Amino acid sequence: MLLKLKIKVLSVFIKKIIILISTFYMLSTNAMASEQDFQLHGFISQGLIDVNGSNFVNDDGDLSAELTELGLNGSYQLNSAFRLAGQVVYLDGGNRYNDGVRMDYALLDWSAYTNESWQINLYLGRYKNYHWLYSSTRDVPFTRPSIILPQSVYFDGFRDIAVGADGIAVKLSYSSDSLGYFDFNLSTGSSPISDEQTKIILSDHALGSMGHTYDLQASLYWQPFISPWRFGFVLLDSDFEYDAAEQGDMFIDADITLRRYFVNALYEGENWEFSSEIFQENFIFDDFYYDGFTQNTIGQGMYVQSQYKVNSDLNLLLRYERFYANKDDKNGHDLEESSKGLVPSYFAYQHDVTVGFSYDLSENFRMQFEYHYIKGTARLTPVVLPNPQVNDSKNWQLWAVQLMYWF
Amino acid sequence: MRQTQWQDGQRITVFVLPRHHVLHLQFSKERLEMYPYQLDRIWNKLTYSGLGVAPVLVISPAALIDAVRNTPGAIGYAGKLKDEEKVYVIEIKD
Repeated sequence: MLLKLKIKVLSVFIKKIIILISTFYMLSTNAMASEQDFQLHGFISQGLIDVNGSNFVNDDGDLSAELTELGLNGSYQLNSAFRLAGQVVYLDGGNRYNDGVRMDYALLDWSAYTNESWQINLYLGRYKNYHWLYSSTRDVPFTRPSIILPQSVYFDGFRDIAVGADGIAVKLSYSSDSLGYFDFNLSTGSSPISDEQTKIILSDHALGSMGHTYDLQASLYWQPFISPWRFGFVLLDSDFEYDAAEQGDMFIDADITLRRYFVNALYEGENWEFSSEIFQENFIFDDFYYDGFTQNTIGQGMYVQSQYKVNSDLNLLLRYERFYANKDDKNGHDLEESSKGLVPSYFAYQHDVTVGFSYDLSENFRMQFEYHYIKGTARLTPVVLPNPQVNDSKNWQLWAVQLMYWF
Repeated sequence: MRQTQWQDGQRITVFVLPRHHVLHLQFSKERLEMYPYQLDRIWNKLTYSGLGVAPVLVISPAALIDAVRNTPGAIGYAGKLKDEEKVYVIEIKD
């Protein structure tokens, strides 16, 4: 027998007793309510990662402990409509992104409208990217299918820009017993871009600064009623400006645009899971190399992955991923030819086969392991002017193991 | 299942048992028609991305009933209930 409980003082007592009970009730429950209004959670993780054949994590190719992710978050319910939430993280991923402490999100959540079918929330401040399958918790190890996410979609070189933004986000949810569940997310804002991040995206020779001037993202998810399937459609439109340094910069001022269109699907069964994200992106450069220069490159990427739950603790992972930086030059011949052989053809693509497993040592303590075999280097940094002197292997591999605890 | 407030505007505080607890497994699969790992995923996304507030974890059925009893607007589940004081009870039968 299962029972559903809701607190309420039951009536039909003489007036004096009702008052006594109500007073006692209010005193005791208010204390408990204020405890529930504030929540504190966090995670600690440390791993080892070994990459052979690329500078994905470090330049010397040695076994690395640069796989640290820590986080602490709090949520405070101001009243029934407003809530404050924030999270601080410390990340160290070697060459993958800047290491250090970050304010991951800091927002005011306004529950603007709610009834049996509809919920509308507005988030003001620094919000996360709520649009892709794993984007909102990409740095939270136990929420990911793997330690290294598929780089076609979750490219670590773009992490600091793609992880969230400062601005406003809206989430609109609709539930229906016949049509299922709908979630619509819309966000607009901008991300601060450090000089180091500028070099990661453009080139070590980019001495100027890059600004994120415009960002609009939208996503729509649909889950049929009591179905293991969920389907999504995502749009991204982002503009950047490059201000060249006055002296010594080999580039000039430029406008850069990134547009992406995704579809994704997720199946969650009792033992089997499948997920896939497929996208096409436009990477548009105006000026940059010289006045009047323009380039519109269309890239394509996708992954399919399956997870199998052997039991409630052991989970197996298999994933296949493909990425082409330019859909009209999939084998990279044009890239090699146009660079007069300086950039090898394997910088035009990056394909990855991943196998791995995770094992829950206890309720909140997990170990994860994975191995990647990778062909191509299109998702290594710097992106625009790559470094073939360091990344001189077409095929490279990595393995990683990570221990994680959360509360 | 996605509602966050009662009709009178009071916020709903949800209490749940650990994910391996037999009552939690039974409630998720038979009543919510979801596997516990799916609930964990939804709640982890709420908690670690700032999107919302996840249910509060309590360690035993007795602690769950006690927490619901002492929190305004709370909801939870129980296998049996000796004392119905200060709680509304909805009995679910197959």
